[in-house]
Amino acid sequence: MRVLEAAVLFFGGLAAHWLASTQLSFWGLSPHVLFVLTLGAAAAVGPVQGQCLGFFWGLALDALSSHVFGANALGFTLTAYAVGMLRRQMDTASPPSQMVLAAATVPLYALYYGLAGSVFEHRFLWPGWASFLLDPVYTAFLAPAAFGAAKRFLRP
Amino acid sequence: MNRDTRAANYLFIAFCAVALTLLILPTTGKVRQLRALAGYLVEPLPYHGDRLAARLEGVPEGAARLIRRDVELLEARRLLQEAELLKAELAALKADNERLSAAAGLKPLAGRGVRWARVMERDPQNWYRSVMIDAGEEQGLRLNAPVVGIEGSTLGVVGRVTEVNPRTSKVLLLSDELSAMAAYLPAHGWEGLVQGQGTPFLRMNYLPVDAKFAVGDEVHTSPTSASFPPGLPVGRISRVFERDPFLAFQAVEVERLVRASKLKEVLVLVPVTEAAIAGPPEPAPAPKKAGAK
Repeated sequence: MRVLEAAVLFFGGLAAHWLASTQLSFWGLSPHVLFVLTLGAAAAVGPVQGQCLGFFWGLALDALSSHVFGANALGFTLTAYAVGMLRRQMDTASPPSQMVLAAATVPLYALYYGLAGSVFEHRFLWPGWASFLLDPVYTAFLAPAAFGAAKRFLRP
Repeated sequence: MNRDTRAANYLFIAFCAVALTLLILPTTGKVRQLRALAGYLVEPLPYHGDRLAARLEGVPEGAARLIRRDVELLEARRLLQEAELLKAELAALKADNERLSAAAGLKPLAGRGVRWARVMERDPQNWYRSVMIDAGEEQGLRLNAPVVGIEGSTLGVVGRVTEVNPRTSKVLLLSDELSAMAAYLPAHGWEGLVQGQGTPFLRMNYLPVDAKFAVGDEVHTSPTSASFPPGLPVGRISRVFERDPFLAFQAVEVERLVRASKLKEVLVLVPVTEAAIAGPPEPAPAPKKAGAK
């Protein structure tokens, strides 16, 4: 049953990401739904399930991207591992702390992705200042819902 | 180290190894094509605008061409929708142009220039009294300048300018009770004074008692008019009032050729002077008002 619920969360997350990228996008900004779901999964049930979901979500994103293949899978795995291991040392239960966590990690992830591009594609993959500064804010507003969904589907 | 932590570490190493392998291994052209097409289908937004070239960099030519053509098709559809709106706007402008072109066939008036202006406001309390037009001192309008209007292809006197602001002016209509102008009947030569009555109809007084005229006779501006150039059509006689034995003149009712209720644009006749040819004067800070006559 838990596998089924995890699968629902996995495909639901992909659908939500597509919806957010196409329908909820404005001024070229779109929330990082899969990234924040990975944060929520790792915070809710730990690094094992967080990494599993994060790796495959990242792989799905890589398949849809025209840039470095595998960078999202690696990034999401790293994020899920770090958040899963540190989840006992930080508060991820309250919406404000979830928003702060999302707002702080999204720009770090953008920098990581840019660096991955410079290493494997020989050019820094810069998302643009507007996206770099405002996507974290947009994503932060979705964080409580994403953490709630992850907790709902991945009950330990 | 407990079991969960060990599992997390092993998974971490395994996933990182797979991801790094994927990062290091070069992808074939077919894989890049599939990735680009799948990415465009699922998330087309990043392919629009100036990011298209960057997104298609490294994508094999077949897929890149397909995506580029689709983006162009969507752009063309958007432009087509805009073109439909422009077409509707063009049709409206064409209708306006035809109406104004028909009106522009009027004879040139010696010593007078013409300024087009749109009627922008009417006073609902005094419908037959005045209208505001969107031309003023900056367009060369002066106090007491005659204003003519067009209904269909018929030209007729409307009134005169009684207030000039920098970019707007007030036109006192002929139908206002305070309006009066010298006019004559070109068919007979009789001259009289056309006055407003606060209704759509005008009254022409001071016609000689022995004068003969009929309903339908045209009324034009008189050569003796101080404000209006001679020979401009004003209206037609619509009724001959019964003669009052105590008055030494006859009066007729005049139906105007241009009804104020249908006015959209007017022609303001301005004197052609050296100053007017040189250009409009500096805008005045306060409006000037003329006494009503």
